[in-house]
Amino acid sequence: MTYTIGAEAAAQERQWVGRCRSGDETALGCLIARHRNRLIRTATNLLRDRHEAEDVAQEAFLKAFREIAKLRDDRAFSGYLYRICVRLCMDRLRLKRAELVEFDSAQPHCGGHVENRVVIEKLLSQLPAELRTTLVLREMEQLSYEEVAEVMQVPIGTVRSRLHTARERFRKLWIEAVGE
Amino acid sequence: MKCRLFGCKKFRRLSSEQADRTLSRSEDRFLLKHRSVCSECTRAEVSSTYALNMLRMAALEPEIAPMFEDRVIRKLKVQQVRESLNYWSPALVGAGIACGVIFVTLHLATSPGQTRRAELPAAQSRQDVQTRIVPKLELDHPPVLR
Repeated sequence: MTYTIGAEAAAQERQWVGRCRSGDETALGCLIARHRNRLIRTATNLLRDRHEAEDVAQEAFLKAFREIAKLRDDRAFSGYLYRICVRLCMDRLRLKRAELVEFDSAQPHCGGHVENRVVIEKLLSQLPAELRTTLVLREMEQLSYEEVAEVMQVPIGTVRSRLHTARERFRKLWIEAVGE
Repeated sequence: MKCRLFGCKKFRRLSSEQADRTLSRSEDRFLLKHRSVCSECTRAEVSSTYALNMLRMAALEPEIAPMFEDRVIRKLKVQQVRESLNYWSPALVGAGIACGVIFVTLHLATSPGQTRRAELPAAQSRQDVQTRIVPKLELDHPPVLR
């Protein structure tokens, strides 16, 4: 899954962005309908909380629409919106205290989906915001290195090193949690 | 888990990167060779693959609340109104204060002045003068002189 869109969709989006500037509510609705799913899904995977994700997505839309007049390139709206959303998620992650959870090593190794999900949520919460975001964007959202770099506004080399560190730390945490 | 053999660090890096790009032949050969001699790295690679698969499987599907668009648009409108109020409020407050000052000034300048003038002794004397009986000059009926 990538966050770039096709040429036709991009042209349509450019029109909507132009109409949004003049306060067209229909165009606003169209832009929200196009981007809401992706935005909420990314926020959900980053924050691991559906309600918070929806709040963040709303906040991202509001912020993007408020600043839409300042946007130099109408084609950049999609990336701009996504960047705001990821940034807001990272801010929230930084605010949250990393909960130190002690795992019982006797926990079932191959539990159900829900158990695994809970374990993974706890492991992710122990990673710093930057590493967690990089890992989620790459592994869950399937973004390319370039896209992750653009969204997080860091060089590709930084993405590569962060991803390597994040995978390594995640693996170690996983082993600590469930055993080898 | 510490790397003991030469090249373990490189192995871990390449092992992580092979998920994102196609490795060169020499890099592939290096991985194969290292796997055969370092059981620790092989175990780490297996556990890493497993953990990352679990991570991918734990991806959540979004639940979008009904009327999401409407709510965002409504919030945007409220925000715009609030912003414009915030922008104009100092001017409105200033104008209100100025109006109040002008009104009070005008009020003080007109009504209390009249009262005071009426209470002046001279005004009182004028009132007295007005109430004095003035002899009438009856021109319609001139006195008949005999």
